[in-house]
Amino acid sequence: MSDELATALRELAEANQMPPPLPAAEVRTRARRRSRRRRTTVRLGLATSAAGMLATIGLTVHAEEPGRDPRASAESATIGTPTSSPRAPVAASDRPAGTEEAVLDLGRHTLTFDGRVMRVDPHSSGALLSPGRELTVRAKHEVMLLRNDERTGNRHEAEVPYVVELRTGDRPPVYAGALAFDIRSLGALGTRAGWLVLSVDDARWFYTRIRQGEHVEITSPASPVAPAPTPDPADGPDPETGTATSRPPN
Amino acid sequence: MTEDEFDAFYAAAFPRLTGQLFAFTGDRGEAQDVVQEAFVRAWDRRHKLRADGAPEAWVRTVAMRLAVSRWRRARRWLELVRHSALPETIPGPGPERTALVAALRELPEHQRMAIVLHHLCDLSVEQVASETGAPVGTVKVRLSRGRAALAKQLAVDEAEEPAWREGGRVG
Repeated sequence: MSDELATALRELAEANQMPPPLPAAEVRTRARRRSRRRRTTVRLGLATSAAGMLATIGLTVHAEEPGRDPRASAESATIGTPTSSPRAPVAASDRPAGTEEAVLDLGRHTLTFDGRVMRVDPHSSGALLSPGRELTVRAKHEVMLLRNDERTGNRHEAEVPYVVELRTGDRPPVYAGALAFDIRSLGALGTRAGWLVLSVDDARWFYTRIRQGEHVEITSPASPVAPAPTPDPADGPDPETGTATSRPPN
Repeated sequence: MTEDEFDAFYAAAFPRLTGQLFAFTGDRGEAQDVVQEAFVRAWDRRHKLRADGAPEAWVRTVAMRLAVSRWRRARRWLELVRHSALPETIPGPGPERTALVAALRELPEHQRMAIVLHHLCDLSVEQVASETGAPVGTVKVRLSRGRAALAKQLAVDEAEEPAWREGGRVG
């Protein structure tokens, strides 16, 4: 009976196998959408709780120490934090692993991570930055040295501070960093690599908080991504033109 | 598990899992739905799944629990509306149903799950116990009773008019 039953069950199961009704990318998109909704709900809950607690503390302090402004301590705690950040840049090691996924919105040109929305200027050739794709943090370079290369018209060496190297599988890298020099010189940075240009403050904050192995989700483009102004892709340097150094940023 | 690894796992395991879940649910649409949902949940746990080394077993367990949960909701709903003109049984799985499917559907869900996991998915009694959270002795009893019920049901089907033509019932 057991063998017959096993055979009959296998035949039944094989006869009723079905191909996936959705592509895998759609499954991932649904999961991310759901995850974002969960995070938003948690944040709203935390914000509501925090607001309630602050109101309670404020009322208590006000009641105990008349004349002292309870907001003063809150203001002093935020001195020195980045301009657009709601909180100080906590080091990656202080943050629980896997609690966040960064989201690169190609339509709004924003990179959102851990509640901070950063302006970003994305540059890539090919399909390196395609919606639905996910990039993984492979390395972090405190300073990346971009060497001069006459073949590509790059006559100047440049140092890019706070670079986060992102990749999808074996595809060429996408670098997120603070490019302070003329954006048009991106043509010399390598035709195969993509770049996410951030302000120095944002790049430093992102570099400090994100960890190797964490992910950046690429979402819906309302407008196309500007391609890198590279005149001749065939002659472009290898994306590894940039060399990581251990020197501190200037 | 990287994006590419997840996609490959999804493409390879999805058909196999829908076949197994069909044996468990007796309904192709239901099997497809719960496996799909289990994969959506799997994406959030992809790093842990790779570490565990048995992602397919995890997806199958989640899909089976989802199916059980749906049955229970459907049954509660039927109990609520029983006084109305609605039928008391859930319609059968359609023209592709077989005597074995009908017989499986007659089993209580614990017995059916044990039978499918042990005889179709090749899990040992200990593994079935681990997946279902039941003691090993209980799993043995469920398997024994399930096999006996199936044998009886299938013997009746061969001798008489097939039971499944009268409509399946949610276990």
